[in-house]
Amino acid sequence: MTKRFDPIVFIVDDDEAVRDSTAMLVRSLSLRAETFASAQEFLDDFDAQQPGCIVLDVRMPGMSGLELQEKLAEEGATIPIIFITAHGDVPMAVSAIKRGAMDFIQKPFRDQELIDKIQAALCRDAEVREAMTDRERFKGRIALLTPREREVMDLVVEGHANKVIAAELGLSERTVEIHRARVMAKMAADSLAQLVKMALLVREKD
Amino acid sequence: MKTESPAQRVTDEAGAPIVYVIDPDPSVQASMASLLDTSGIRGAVFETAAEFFAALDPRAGACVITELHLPDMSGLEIQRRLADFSADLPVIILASDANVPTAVSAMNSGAYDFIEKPFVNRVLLERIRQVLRRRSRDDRMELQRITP
Repeated sequence: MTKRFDPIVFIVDDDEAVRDSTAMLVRSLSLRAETFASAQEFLDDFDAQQPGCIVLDVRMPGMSGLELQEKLAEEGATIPIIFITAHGDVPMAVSAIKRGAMDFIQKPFRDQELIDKIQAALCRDAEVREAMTDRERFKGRIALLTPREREVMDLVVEGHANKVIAAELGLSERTVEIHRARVMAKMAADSLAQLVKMALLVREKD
Repeated sequence: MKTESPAQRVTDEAGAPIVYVIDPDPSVQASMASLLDTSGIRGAVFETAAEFFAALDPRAGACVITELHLPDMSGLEIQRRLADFSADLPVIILASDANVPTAVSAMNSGAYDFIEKPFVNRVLLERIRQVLRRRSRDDRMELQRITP
C-alpha cells in the first residue's frame, strides 16, 4: 500500500512576484506550496505519485503552460491543472479545458476564487487517486475468483436471479447460490449494491 | 434547401444524421441553414428550446448547436436535459456575449465545444465535421459489435 503524501500545490510561473504571492496564499491555508520559474524545471522534478495540483501560467518563455499540459497528458499524468493568465481568451480557455485542464482563470482574480479552485482541484486529485487504488484492489480480488465464480459474478452484477443464472450456466440453483456466496466473500462485498459498484469501477476504461 | 421557416427539416440526404440548430436571431438561423446546405449536411433550425424539444429525435441527431441565451431556456440547460435523456448528442454552444468564465463553466458542464459569435464559418464547419466523423465511427463500431 503506497504511503499517503500530503498534497502539494505546485506553482509554475516565470513572474517571481506572482510565484511568491500565490505561494504565500497557499501556505496561509496550511497547504504545502512549491514554486517553479519554468515548465521545464517543474517537469524535471515531477513525481506522478505525489498528490496535489498545479497552478500554471499560460505564457512563459521556453515551454508554455499549454505545452506543459500536453507533455503531462502524454505521460498519462492526472494531476489537476488550474491555468491562470493575464492574456487568455475564450478559444484558449476552451482548448485548455478540452485537453483536460480543470479550470482557467483570468487575472485579476480575487484570492478567494483561486482558493476555492485549488480546494476543488485537490479534492478531485484525491478522488482520482482513491479510485485508482480501489480499482487495483478490486482487480486483485477478481483475479482470485475461479472462472466459474467469475461467470456467476458477471451475471449477478447484471441483476439476474439465481434461477436465471442457473439456467444460463447449466448449473443447479443450489450450486449458483454457493458460487454467489463465495464471490461475495472473496470480493469482501457486504451487499449486491457494493458488488455492482466494484464491478463498475473495474470496468471503467477497460 | 427547402427551408422556408426555421422549424422546417432539410430533406436532402435522407437518413443522414441531423445537425440541430437553435438560435433566436433570424440572420444566424439563415446563415447556419445556408452553411449546412452548401456543405451537404442535413440540418434542422429552430428559434426556441421548446420548438427544438418538440421536434427532437435523439437517435437521428448528430449534434446540437445552440445559442447560449435563448428566449425560453439557457443553452446550458438544454445540454443538461439532453444529458439526462442519455441522448449522447454533443452540444456546441454559440455565445453572443462570451467570456472566459462562462466558457469554462459550459465546458466543465459537458459542452462539446464553445464558440464565440461572430463565428468563422470555416471553423464551425470543421467542428461539425469532427462530430459527424466521430458519430459515423461510433456507428460503425456499434455495428461491428452487434453483428458477429
